[in-house]
Amino acid sequence: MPKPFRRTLVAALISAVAATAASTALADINIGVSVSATGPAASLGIPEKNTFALLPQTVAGQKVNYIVLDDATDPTAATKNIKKLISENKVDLVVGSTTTPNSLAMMDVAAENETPMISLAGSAIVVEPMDAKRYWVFKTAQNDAHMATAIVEYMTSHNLQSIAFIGFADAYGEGWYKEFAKIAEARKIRIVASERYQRNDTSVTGQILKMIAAKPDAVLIGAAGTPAVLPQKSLKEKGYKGVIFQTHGVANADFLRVGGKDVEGALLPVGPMMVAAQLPDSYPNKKVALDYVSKYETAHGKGSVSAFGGHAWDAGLLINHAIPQALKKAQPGSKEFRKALRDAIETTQNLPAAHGVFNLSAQDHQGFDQRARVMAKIEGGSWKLVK
Amino acid sequence: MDLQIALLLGQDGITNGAIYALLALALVLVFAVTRVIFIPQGEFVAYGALTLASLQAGKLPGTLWLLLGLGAAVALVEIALALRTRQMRRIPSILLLNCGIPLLLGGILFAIPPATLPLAVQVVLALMLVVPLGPMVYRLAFQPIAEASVLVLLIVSIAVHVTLIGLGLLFFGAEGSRTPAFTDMSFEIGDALLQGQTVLVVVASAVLIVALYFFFERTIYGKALRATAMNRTGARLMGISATMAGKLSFTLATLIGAFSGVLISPITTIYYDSGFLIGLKGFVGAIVGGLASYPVAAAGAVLVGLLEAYSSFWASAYKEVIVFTMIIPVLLWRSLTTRHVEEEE
Amino acid sequence: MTAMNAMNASNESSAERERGTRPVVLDVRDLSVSYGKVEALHHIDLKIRRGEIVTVIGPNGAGKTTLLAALMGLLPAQGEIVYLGERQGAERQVEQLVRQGMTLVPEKRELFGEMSVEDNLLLGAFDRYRGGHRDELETMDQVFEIFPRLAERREQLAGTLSGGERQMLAMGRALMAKPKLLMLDEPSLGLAPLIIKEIFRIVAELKKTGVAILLVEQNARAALQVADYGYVLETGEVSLEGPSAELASDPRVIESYLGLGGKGGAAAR
Ligand SMILES: Nc1ncnc2c1ncn2[C@@H]1O[C@H](COP(=O)(O)OP(=O)(O)OP(=O)(O)O)[C@@H](O)[C@H]1O
Ligand SMILES: [Mg+2]
Repeated sequence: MPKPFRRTLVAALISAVAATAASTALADINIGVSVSATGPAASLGIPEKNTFALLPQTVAGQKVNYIVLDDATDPTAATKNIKKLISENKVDLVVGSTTTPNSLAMMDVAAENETPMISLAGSAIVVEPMDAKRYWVFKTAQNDAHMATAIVEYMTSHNLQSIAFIGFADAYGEGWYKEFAKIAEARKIRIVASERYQRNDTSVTGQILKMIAAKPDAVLIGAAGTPAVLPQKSLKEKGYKGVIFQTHGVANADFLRVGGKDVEGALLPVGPMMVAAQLPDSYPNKKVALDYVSKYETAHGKGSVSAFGGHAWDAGLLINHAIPQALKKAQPGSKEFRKALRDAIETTQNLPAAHGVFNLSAQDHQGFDQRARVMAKIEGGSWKLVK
Repeated sequence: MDLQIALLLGQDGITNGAIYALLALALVLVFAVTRVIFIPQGEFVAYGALTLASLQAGKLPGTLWLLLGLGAAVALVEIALALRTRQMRRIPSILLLNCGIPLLLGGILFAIPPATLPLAVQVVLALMLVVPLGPMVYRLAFQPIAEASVLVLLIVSIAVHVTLIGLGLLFFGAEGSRTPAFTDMSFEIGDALLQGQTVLVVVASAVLIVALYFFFERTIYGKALRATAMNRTGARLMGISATMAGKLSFTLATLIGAFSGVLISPITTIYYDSGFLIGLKGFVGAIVGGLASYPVAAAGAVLVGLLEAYSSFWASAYKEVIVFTMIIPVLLWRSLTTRHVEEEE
Repeated sequence: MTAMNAMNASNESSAERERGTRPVVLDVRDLSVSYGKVEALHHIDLKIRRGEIVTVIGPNGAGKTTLLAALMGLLPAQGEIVYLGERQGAERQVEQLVRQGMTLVPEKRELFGEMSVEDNLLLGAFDRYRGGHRDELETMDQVFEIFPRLAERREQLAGTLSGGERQMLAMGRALMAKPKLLMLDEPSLGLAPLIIKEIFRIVAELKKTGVAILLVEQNARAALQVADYGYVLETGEVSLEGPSAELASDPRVIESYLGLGGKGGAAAR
């Protein structure tokens, strides 16, 4: 029986009024969410925010509330949000945030308060290397390394031996370069040029000419979102005929809208969700991915789904999977329940999700494998699965 | 680097430099006439490009709301003034100019789906939406403090810049846009392609610069602006009001900015905040010209474009650093070689 | 010299007769002007009629330039200013006064140094152009007739002109506006005697066109010779006023402003 007297009383009253099964009536489960629904990362944060409204309201007969806050792509605001969620809303778990810097800022607060946290950000440093802080932190988006191996695999299987890299002159570009260079070196792929540019640059002609002069078999553009259009457009203009790789950071409708004809033919690793309908029926997470896509597009219109909303959906799936196990150990709103949730998430095995199949462990708080990405090609203004 | 690469880089540098030159001219003009360092210039570049993109996407551009809002604010201020000085006759024209025309424009946009219009009409509509914002901003933010020090004007200028960037994010979102090229023509030079659009940018900039030259050298209004820049008191005594000169220079600067945005939006993706960096490079050009000389400013801006192109080839990660540190030797050289001449008899 | 005096004398006598009947262009009553807390002009009364030259003479720092600046709307002033029969409001603007035909040739000339003589003149007609008049070229020809020296130098940059030419240009530029009231602030400042003579001859000529002229001068002798009426301004107050002939023979004026040489001028009457 529940220990604090008041809560028993409230629960009893509610159960009496609602005439539900009085024996299992517990407090609601509260999930706090902080995403970047405004500011520079808004185009990522908005579909994430939208996704929480699509998640089931009751899990294992237990009401789940999502309290969604916006951190405006600002780490300070993200920290403020998580503090508020923990102290005022007494949440059992926090989801967020959209970007890596925001997630890193939130991580400290989560660990301090022994509250599990699921980040939606891309960079592996959110969950690696494992330490006391990251003990509480999980992450649903594929690590860059997953994606980089897909490109390298494609290159070796298509006998592409040299590559030129151009990426953002920031953490995203550097991160991608390091991951890719590591894997490429192991597979004897030569990186013949490595260039940088700014998100806001209006021209990359210089970099492109230098890359073309090095005569690479392929080009990798380590950039995210619509700014990744510019290098590919310049490559085409300057007559580059080789293979062009983009990263999964471009997998949204805005990229296709801005890129138009100029980004046709680009190859990129994406979560299988982006091409769910084209996957063979045997693909382990096809059903789950299609389910999310259809739910999202019913609510927000055809073609509106993006990879980022999928990460939020997957966070929801991890939570929903863990709740029944945690409920067996403790009741929502308690420190024990938070710990039980964390433990349950960490032991998730073979859980198909929108972006892949989760197999988490004490060392791996991301949990995806190579099934979490496929190669896609931009064709006719949409993503086509490369078989 | 072989000759062909050098040529291609030069072409790229000149294309960008042409835009920077336009912006540099606008900055020099505004500074000379009003002493305002016109930081929001870049925002009008972005507004021009993104308004055109919105029109083409069949969306109602957010700049329409800004135009209606600023127009109403200007009308309120002017009417209050007219009431105080008992010039009731002015009220109808104030309302027509600041509220009527924007409303009419909005009505047109509602009535005719702009996405179906020919490109030239879309461009004109986009300019009509953005350009009046310039004089309105002048009326509200700068005219009341026209006599303030350059520093105060600069602070207000920064405030306007920050506000416009925020509004840009609100209107156009964080994602960028590109507009289709004005022309699909391209020319073969060796084995590289020269895009028609880049030629268009250079030609249009050159035409605009020549047009500006004629405006300043051959028309009485252009001369009046130059006169204000040279000698404010003298100009006032000729009945050239500082307010008129200020509004005119802001209108021209905004026109140049918005038009630059329209020109480059097929070449590159423009974001709500892209304008600042573009404007900043124009500003470097203007500084090279000492904020006073039009030809030197334009040359400086083209130099910035070229430097940018070549440094993006040699050391792409340090491109911005190279471009912006160029300002230091130039400033040093200028401070050593030019003596400051006081306007005194 | 004698010819000029003769011309002067005849003008003066007719002016005497007509002074009471011609329409008043500018009527200033109880005008005070302050720089911050310091009052530079105290309770000035002043009147100018059509076709009349009124001079204000006084020593350095008396407030002559201040007076013109206040009249032109460059400085805020207290008191009553009636211009062309209309009482001026507190928020009088230079541009508005220019539109109503008031022009000032300032002490510092305020030319557009990096523009040609021609462009400087053209801008003198800016307000008329804006008002829809398109006669600036004819007006310019008239100005060139008055100042043939400017015609020779129409392409030259104003900043490179000699002192006398600059004064001519400043006056010519003011005339381009076809003024009803022309205010000249020390047109003789820093000029050689020959040029001064020429300038004052032109001022006297201008009067015939019907324009009212307010002439501020330190060169009291020359000013009183061309003017119909004069005021003596001292430390911000009008200490003396009267028809110029009377002023020129007033012992106080002779003492302070005309000196020994002035006696000759007074004796000529
Ligand atoms: N901007 C100003 N601020 C404060 N005091 C001023 C200002 N301008 C003029 N003054 C003062 O007002 C008084 C009148 O100056 P004003 O220039 O009118 O004299 P003026 O009669 O024209 O002299 P001058 O014959 O030397 O030109 C002087 O004492 C002067 O110092
Ligand atoms: Mg003076």
